[in-house]
Amino acid sequence: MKQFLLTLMIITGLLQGVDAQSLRSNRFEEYTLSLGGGYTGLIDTYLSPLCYGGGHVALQSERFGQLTSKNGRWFAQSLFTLHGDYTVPRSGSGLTIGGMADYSYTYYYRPLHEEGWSLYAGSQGQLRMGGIYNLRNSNNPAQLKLGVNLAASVMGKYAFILWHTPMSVRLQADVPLLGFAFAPNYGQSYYEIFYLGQDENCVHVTALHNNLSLRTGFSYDVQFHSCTVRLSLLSDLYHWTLGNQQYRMFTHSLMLGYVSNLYHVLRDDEVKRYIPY
Amino acid sequence: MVICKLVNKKYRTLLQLSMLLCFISCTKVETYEDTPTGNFEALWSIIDEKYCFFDYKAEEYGLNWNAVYRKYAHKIDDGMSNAGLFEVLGEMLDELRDGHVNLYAAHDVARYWDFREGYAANFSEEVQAEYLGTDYKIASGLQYTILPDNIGYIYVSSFSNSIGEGNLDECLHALALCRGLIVDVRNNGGGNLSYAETLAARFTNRRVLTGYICHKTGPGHSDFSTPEPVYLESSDRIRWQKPVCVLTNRSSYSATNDFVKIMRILPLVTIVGDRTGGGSGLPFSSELPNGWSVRFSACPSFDVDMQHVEFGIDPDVKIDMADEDRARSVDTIIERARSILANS
Repeated sequence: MKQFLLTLMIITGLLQGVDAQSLRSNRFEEYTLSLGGGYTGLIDTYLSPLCYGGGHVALQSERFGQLTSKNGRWFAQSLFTLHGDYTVPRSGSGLTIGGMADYSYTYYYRPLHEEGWSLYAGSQGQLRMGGIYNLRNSNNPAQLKLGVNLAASVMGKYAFILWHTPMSVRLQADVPLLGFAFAPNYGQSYYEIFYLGQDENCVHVTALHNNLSLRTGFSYDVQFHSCTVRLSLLSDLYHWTLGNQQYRMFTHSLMLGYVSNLYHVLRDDEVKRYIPY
Repeated sequence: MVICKLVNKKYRTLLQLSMLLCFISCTKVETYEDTPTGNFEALWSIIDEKYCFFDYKAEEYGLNWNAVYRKYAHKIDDGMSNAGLFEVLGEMLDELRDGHVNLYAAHDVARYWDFREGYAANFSEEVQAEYLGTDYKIASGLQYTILPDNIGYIYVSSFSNSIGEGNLDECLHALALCRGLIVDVRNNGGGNLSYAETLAARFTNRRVLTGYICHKTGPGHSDFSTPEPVYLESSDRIRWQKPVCVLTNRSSYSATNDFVKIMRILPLVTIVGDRTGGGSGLPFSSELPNGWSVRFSACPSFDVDMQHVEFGIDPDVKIDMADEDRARSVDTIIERARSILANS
């Protein structure tokens, strides 16, 4: 199982790319792979005026590491999440299936690091791709969700030892500030967009007035012997008002993950002499 | 402790500003109770905000959706049965006189079929069978044969069945030596617009403007985008170069109406039969709190002169099936088309 998780983490880590800087410096990196599920609620007025609710599953891969060349205060986080949703309205007679791939890359600056507390603030690039399919609709059966955002991110972390066990808690919040999103207009059909190619005005500039979203993650890491386990609560809140339509979605997921802490050592570093392999 | 120090007055102001922006962004989404009144209000509002022919139908026959609300609201009682509610809602939707408007419940489908039910059928499967015979060929949604006077006959019963380029190649190749072609779309209730266009593309040698389409941009009855031109690209495969008659009746509806709208502007094409049923709005779906589904016209399309074809298209040659012909298993409309093709 452990080997499987490590292999998965390596693959997802490779997918997220390697910072060239990291190959030239000593630095620590934290790899986490989490799997979990929870609840989703959504309203997409292009598809239906009704609220849909249902189950949600998520797989998340995270790389968080120090950029040592910049006085030890700069960090980078790469976060890749796959979501799947299965929702029904209160009447139970409809059904939507949704899927989303969500990638973000954040540069953090750490202004505070004392007494176990760390505070990070940074700018984030977000890319979201996915869609919702409503099984009972005719010419408006689905909604594509595409968005690129520049976001602000803050993260607070507190590391402590309890019962001789290293633990830490972390809270992260991301708010998209400016970006672009794809959305058909109010009554526009995908026949017009994709078959006739009438796709003008489908890409919208988004900011806080039409894209009020918040992604938060609260995590608790605890170390058992040589392995660290992460229990986290992820929340995504989206509120898009695009093309006179509303898209609101929230998800709450409880995730269980495996954390691997790595320290990259430069080939000719002094420390290398004391490492027996 | 350290974090608390950061949340000073300046940051609190920023937080308050963010919350204000939040309230600005949160425009209201109307919610309705799952009661007869709630379902009535939901249905009326869905149509009010998304239906696309209010202005046109106000001109044509004086449709007033607010008056419709007043007419039916007092018929709704929270103690009424599901069947009773369904009947009232169905009657309300009939006011739109639109075959693309349906209300789907587990026990029934409310529909408006007056566009064909009040008129001569102008089609008989039994009589048509005399022409098709028993050895006709079937290529996906196309049934085709060669009539004794060397005229090709293709019957397209629906545009819901996929019509592939390969199907059309084989069909047109088999009929290549015929001196004319009949494309019969009577009783074809529509289907996929792209299949209709795939078929029509075999009858033009150049790109042609076939009409316009637009969509609603907001909930107001007159909130529409600028109509965009729709072009038909000529097929780069086998194309028909001889005279064609397209046979129509009142049951030629929706995508078939669109097919006729395209074919009538092409050279060498004559529309023969009865006026089509219409149905020029692209239908969308929505739903009510009780789970009933509703379908309605959402995107209007227009002909090349920017005229609505929602209530049908007149043929070039108007002719009905004569009862005496029917009794003799003769299809008056097919015979007229054969005559036109023989003399062209």
